[in-house]
Amino acid sequence: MKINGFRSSERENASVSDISDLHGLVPSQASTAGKEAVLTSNALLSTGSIIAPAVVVATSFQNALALCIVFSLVTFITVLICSFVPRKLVYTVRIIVYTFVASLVYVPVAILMENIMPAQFSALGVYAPLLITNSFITMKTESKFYRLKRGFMAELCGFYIIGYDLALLFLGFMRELLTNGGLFGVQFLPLSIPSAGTVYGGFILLALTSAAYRWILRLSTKNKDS
Amino acid sequence: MAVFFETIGAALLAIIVENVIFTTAFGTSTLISLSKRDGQIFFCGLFITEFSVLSSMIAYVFEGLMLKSDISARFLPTLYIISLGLVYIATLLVIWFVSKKAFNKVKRYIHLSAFNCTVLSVLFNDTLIGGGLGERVLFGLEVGIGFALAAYILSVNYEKLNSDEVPASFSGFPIHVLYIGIVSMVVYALGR
Repeated sequence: MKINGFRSSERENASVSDISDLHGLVPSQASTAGKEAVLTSNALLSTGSIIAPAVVVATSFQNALALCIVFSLVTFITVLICSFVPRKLVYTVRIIVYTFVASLVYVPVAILMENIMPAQFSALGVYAPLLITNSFITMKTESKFYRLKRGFMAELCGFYIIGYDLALLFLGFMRELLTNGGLFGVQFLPLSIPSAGTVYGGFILLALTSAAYRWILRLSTKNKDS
Repeated sequence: MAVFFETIGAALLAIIVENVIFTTAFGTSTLISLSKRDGQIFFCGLFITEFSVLSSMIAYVFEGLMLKSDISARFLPTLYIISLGLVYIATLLVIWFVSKKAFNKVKRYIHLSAFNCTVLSVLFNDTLIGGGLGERVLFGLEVGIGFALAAYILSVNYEKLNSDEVPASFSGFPIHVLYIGIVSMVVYALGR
């Protein structure tokens, strides 16, 4: 039996904060959950998950796109496969299984990327395979995804991934624009801030984007309330 | 003696100038998420050092076999995960035998120290650099101590970063990242 998206046995074990966190998440309210995953709980801009690739290699729109494809495929497929791992296994073993599966899923994804975006995939360097230990796989699976029914979990996981991807693409777009004054090698703005392409530039831009994002969200909430 | 101090000085400089957080951003999310857990961040630094060093030693033994063909080389990340998993289980068993109380405390966050991109990056970089066992152990130590140093730098200003004076839009994650960005800029300037 399922109550509010939880499997009933797991609902009993979930903490109060977990229950309030997921309160109301049922398949019929997928749009609300999706809105939360993409907007209010955006993995990159709100909760600060998976920062390293965003800060270091998402220096252009195309690099960010390549990163999005690797991240989305590895994460979604791994989360789906690992949802079949029995909950009876102790967590110590489960987390090894999750990352082990991710490392296997990464192999065909890498082959695919070498064929469709070779230059951009190469530019990701070691940051692409490091996505096998991203927090969606190692933490969110346990704290959120696997407390839900599989169909709804897949939908919610997809929304979280889309939220991260959108934020990453925006960051890549902004950094390319600020660094080169244009996009895809075409300069159309009298602008060049090379620091935007550095690691510290990535940190600072991410912080400013996140703060601006929160400000906009607060403003829209205030407007709705008033 | 002078050579010893010069070596220590060079090692310290390397930990700062080539710091894992401030120059490569590996483990930034882990660092920020751990900063909320009072008292755990330094233990995590210790565990990250342990996992980096021991798993790189295991990976070193089998890496040669994996690199013999292009197909098996593609499964290097799997080898790294198996190495990490072995060290993770062994560490938990040792802690459990030593103290059940410590085990119950540590089991809540030790997975964060094992399965993160800081430790995994050490294994990938070991393969890319292709050094001997000694170099890999030293690199693992450097990364682990670098993470602990970054944790210390974050913790010294923890209260200021979480004070009410921080504007609402910046409170929490944005101010932490901004702070790390500024320190990263200083480290970048020092390295030039």
